[in-house]
Amino acid sequence: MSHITIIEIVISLALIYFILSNAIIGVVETLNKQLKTRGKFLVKSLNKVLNDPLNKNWADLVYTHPLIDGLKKDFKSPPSYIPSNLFSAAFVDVITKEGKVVEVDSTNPGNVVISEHFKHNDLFGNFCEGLKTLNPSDFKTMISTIISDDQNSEELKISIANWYDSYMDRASGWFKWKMKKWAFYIAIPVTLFFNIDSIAIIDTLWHSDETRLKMVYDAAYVEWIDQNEKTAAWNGDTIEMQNDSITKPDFKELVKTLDTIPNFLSYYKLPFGWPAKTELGKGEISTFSYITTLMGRITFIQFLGWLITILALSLGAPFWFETMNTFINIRNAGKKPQTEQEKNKKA
Amino acid sequence: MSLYTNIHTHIFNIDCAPRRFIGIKLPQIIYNRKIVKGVTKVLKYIIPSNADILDRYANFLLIGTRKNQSLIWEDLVSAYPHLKTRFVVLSLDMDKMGAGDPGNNYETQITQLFEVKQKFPNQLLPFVCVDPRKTYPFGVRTYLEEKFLRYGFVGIKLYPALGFYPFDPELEAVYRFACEKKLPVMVHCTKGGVWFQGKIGPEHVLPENFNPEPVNKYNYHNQIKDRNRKFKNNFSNPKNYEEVLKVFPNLKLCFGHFGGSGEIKISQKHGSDTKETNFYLKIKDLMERYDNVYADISYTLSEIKKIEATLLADLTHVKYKERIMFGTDFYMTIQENSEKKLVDNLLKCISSDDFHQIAAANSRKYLESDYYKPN
Repeated sequence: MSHITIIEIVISLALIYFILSNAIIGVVETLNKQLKTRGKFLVKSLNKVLNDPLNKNWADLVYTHPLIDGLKKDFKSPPSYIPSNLFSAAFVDVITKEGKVVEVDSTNPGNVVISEHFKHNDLFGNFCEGLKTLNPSDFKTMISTIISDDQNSEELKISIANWYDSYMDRASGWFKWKMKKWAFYIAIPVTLFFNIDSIAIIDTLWHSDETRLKMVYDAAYVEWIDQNEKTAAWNGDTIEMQNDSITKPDFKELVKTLDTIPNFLSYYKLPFGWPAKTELGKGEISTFSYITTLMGRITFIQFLGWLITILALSLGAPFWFETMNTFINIRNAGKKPQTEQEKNKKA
Repeated sequence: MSLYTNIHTHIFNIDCAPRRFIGIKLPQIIYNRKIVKGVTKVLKYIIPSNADILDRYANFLLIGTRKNQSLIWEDLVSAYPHLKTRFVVLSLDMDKMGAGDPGNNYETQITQLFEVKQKFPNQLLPFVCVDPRKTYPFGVRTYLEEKFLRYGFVGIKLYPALGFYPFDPELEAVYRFACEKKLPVMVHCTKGGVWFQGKIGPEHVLPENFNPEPVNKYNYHNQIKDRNRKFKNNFSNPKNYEEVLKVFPNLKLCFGHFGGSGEIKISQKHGSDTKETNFYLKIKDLMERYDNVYADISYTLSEIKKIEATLLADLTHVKYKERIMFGTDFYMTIQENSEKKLVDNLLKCISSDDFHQIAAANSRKYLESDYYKPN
């Protein structure tokens, strides 16, 4: 077997994992949408840094500020994204209020008078006044470090917005890691349900030049689509290009999304799926007996094949796309294989 | 039209409570209003005979999971369309109840409460909650002064069942301040409600007492292994206030819930035999001995039909009639009945003069202080 064959197997596997990972992403995105995961994760991330037990829960006060409250779709649907300028304005307002001089006069029967005013004429001065009123805490230290003494009000908001943006970069990383874990957990039942054995697939690719070369050709097409700033997707029959990135399906689309898996694998005549009850040679059996019979036939190699598939799918579509492109370039850089004509001429 | 006062209400939402405030971690699912409504609908279909009780528990959850205190306030006010009413709103400090940290700590709770107060300055009368286990950086007196002057609080709330005794030495300064400024103090006094979820320790079993000559020696050593549900009655027991009132006889003190309807029913059955242990009878004993001790009928009025005779007798008694106040304990009582029905049922049992006495005259006297003059 030449090294070209190995490269082609890698390209084919990368294409398989790329398409299947997209299906897994579809499931993950559906769950995200239904469970409002992004918004809840943002709440958790902001609470982590802004909930100050020695003072107040600044995260909650920011979320209930009209600027941020208006971004919510409904109760318990926190916004999945808060622009840094809005966050900064709301946060500065919340802290500034702490420095307000408020007097409540309840001594006139039936006429409670609440009067309030700020000590300074500028926003920065009032913000610092608010910060001063807080009990010493990690939060107070953090904010005091972000701002500097000689700032004006605009620079103050920019400092807070910049801090928020850099914190969001880190929070995005945490969220991506969380989604990778979700992809791993979702890949387990998908792999087992469709019996996607990577070792069996490699074996097929090893022995079937036709399948392997067809996949390499389609992988090159996927790369070409990407270079034209479109997105490759499996449309049920073949790879096609579409303008938008992979859509986030609803539950209605979820079945269609998962249907791409057997569809795709059968198109390339790759091994997957479980034998029918009648193929077990045991006549009419119950579903329980069917499952236990199948479990009894699982081999260590098959188990290893599943494990490879699960781990591969959890790496995500972008990883396999890059891998595919890298190996396509390596293949294209190697010696061009002889055509039939050239072979005959030599002979 | 007369101006009435509901002396005992709450508008904090579930974000202000730790997840384990009832002893077990609350499942996230109860925060989902759609699921609560859906499950209630299904259960009502399966067991239609329990439809009413299911609705009540569902309403309790639906109110408690409102996104902010402003919405709960609207729920409260909407139940009184025909009565010109103001409301004493009791904040509750659950930070130290041993059930973990709440999503919104107490300072966040009262910041949000003040935002509602600003919109309804005359109608919303908030009480600030004090916990002797907390550290007040500049002293509890300075803390309270700021709360009364800056946030418009009109009284002080204590909830000993959350894990402390009323005679805790740290509360001495609170009572001194309250007496000086003639501030009303409201204390939770029933065997129900929420309670301390932490580990019962030496400080609970052999507590310190600021009364230099305590009337009763407190030693609960033999109860150290008791479950918190039972032990918490030691914190709430009205006999604890003997220590407080001996040192501060002029303290304006209201026993919330009047000991609880359970204790009233026991007293109806056993009379004064249970005088030493019965919360209700002990409260009345303190009311007889101290002129500034009050009681409210919040939550207790949910069983008005069973305690009607006793309540009416108290309302006509010269020692008690000017010191019993109307309250409902909204929204806790939603589990028993709607706010409107509670008031309607009460009005069916007592005369309009008696209602005026408990809902207007008595509360006006109780609430008046150096910081607040009710009309």
